[in-house]
Amino acid sequence: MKLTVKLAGVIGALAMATGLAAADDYPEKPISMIVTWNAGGSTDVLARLLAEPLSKELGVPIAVTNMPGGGGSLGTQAALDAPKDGYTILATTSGNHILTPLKNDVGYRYDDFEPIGQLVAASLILAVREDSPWQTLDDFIEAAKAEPGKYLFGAVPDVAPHLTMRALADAAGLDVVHLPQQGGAPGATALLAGDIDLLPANAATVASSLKGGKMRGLAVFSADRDPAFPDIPTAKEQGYEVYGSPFVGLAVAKGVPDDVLETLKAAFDAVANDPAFQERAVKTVSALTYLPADEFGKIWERDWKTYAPMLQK
Amino acid sequence: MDFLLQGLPEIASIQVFLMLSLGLVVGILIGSVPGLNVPLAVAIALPITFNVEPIAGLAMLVGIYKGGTYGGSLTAVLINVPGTPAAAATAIDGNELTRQGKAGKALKMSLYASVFAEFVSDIALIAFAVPMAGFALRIGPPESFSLGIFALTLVGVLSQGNMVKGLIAGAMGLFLATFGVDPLSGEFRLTFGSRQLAGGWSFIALVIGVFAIAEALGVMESRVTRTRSKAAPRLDDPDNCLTRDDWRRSLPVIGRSSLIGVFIGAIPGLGSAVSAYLNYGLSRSLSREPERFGKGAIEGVAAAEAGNNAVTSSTFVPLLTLGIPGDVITAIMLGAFIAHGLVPGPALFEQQGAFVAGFFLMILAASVLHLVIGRLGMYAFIQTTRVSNPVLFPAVLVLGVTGIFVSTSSYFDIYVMIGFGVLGYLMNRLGFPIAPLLIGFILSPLIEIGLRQAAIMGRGDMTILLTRPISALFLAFALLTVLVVGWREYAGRRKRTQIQDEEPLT
Repeated sequence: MKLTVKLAGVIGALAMATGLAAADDYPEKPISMIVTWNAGGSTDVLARLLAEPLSKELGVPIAVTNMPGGGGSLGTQAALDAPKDGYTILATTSGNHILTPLKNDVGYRYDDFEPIGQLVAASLILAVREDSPWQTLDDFIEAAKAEPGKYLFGAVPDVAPHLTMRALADAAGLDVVHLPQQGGAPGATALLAGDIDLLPANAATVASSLKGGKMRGLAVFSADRDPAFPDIPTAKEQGYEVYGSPFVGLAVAKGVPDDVLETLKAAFDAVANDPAFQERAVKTVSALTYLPADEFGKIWERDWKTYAPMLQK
Repeated sequence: MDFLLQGLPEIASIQVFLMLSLGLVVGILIGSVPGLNVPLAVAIALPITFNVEPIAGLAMLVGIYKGGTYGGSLTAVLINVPGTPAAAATAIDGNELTRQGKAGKALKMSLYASVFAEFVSDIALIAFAVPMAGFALRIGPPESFSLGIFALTLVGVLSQGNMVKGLIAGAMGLFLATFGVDPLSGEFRLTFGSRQLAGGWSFIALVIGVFAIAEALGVMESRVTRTRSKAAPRLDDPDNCLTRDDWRRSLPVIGRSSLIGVFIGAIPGLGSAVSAYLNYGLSRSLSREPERFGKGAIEGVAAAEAGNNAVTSSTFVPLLTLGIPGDVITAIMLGAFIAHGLVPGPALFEQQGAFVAGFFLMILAASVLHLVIGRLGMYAFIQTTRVSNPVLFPAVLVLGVTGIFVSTSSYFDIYVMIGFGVLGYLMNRLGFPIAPLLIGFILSPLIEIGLRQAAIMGRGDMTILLTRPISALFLAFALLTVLVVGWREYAGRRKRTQIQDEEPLT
């Protein structure tokens, strides 16, 4: 009995000691970085690329943990359920952070999290096959108006490319038919095979087809042209103010101590602005579009407001 | 040939061969452990490859991929627990051979069939990549649906003599795969408000459950007859060597399965598990002695293993020719190519001809090394037959649970695995075959997505399934299979009733 009490006391003291130390000495043990998509996807590869220099910066190992499923909601929820000590960080994307909670009843919102920083904001490109008669956005819109319901576009349901295409169709008053796809690569295959007429897609998905001359870009849905594809005009230049740009960044659950959050932000800023890391990211996945925490938070708010009317029932 | 020779300087380095061998060893080990999967291993290895020459880095990834696809067959044969889902078809006859004391025979056939199929796949990739890509593009939604239906009719083939139970198991598989996110609308379905179920039933948890857990539960029932280790079968023992008769039965099967597997590999989204089952079922339905299957038919091992390894090179066809990855593993490799400034696609052949030739030679070298390393590894793996069940199965369970947790970090999936283990155990006890359950599960999304996409393409007019020629061909195959299976079942019944009729007279 006595021994138990003593033991309990010792354990309690130890727990308090480590609890107190946590804020000062953060980080002192390995950090888990949750990826809400499967191993090998573009988010996963980016997270693994980031984990290596970030772990050097913080001085502790970072384990990338894949928790796929439920439109990214399983991993996002897990990041929220973990102890709020900064040892669980979330590689977050538009899909799991904005679109899934708007569309499905998953029990979390975008503002249950604190932003650490944005890594990537992908360009969305509207691509057609090389033998397509359309050279500009207007060519397509004219054709689609002439024959409502004739043309098919492919996209994963209710992700940024799909929603952006819907926004374009609404803005131009078009009736184009959505053929749901299972991913970016299957969509690109369907376009090359002629099963669909148009593909709104992340630049990375269609980059090699565009460069190899198998596809042509009609428009990019960003404020400015994509430096990797300077010949593709923006939708805005062609008279349609339609934007879409899915993000990847880091976040932690709200409630993490301020100094821990500052440590993470500082480490992330240092890595994201390191030319060696930027070069590696450009070669592997896509160009970085770094944003510091507060601006990344504004992106969340903007996207939440943009997509809420399209997704909430 | 001249084209290939310019790649020689690319791969003539110790580093390439070391990375290739390392990849193969790691791949075979990862593949053989239930729950640890090849995509995860490739993703983890990717950052390592940035520190070596591009071709050496890709060599390691290719090694892991080829080794991992083969490695699953080792545990499938030896302990009836497939290390990868694609090896589940190998377990059917392979483990039966182990029970008959012929583990070495099954292991040898699975290695030789795998390597042979790889060579066919390598050569197809090198010589026919562009026409194969053209063919792959013709497999759209209607064709996927029809191919899925054709493959599904093979459930009937696997259930012969046990048709009702086989069809029930197959239907169960189809149904279980519909849980989770609706693939076309993104809505949650059949989740009963459970967040965990939003991810659907994990396929790896299903496979480990119905094999590893169910097997362990079955073993628990049996009386422990020996707790000490016994000698492993010697690989040169006559019972463990491949006879002329074995080769006569297997060679045609290996040839056909390799060719079919190569085409399946070139089509994005199908993969090695579909190929293994399709070829296993097809070989059984085309066999003159279908009754041998399931009872230790060496040609069954050959069909499944040739089938799953035949996809490993042709899966690079869409990546190299179109720049589009056909599956998760080639998606990771796309990253590896691009990281080294090589953009796959038509331009790669023109601008980086020497590199592409080097890549092809490296893939050929991988198949040769696979044969050598696989043959040496056999001496180690066959030792598992020495371990007694009370030691072996707890170890398998630990590996299974750890493996699942590593892949998804989800306790829920561990419970799912245990639940499916109980299901598998009950199915074994009640005489329901396991294979149809897995086939249904694999084919369900292919069929559902194909059908619904085809309906949208045809604007509701389903004749699109018949007017597209390849789709119509697959549907004709399906009809043929149903007729053949129906006839065999009918003939089998008549035979049985005749025997019953005659019995009272004697």
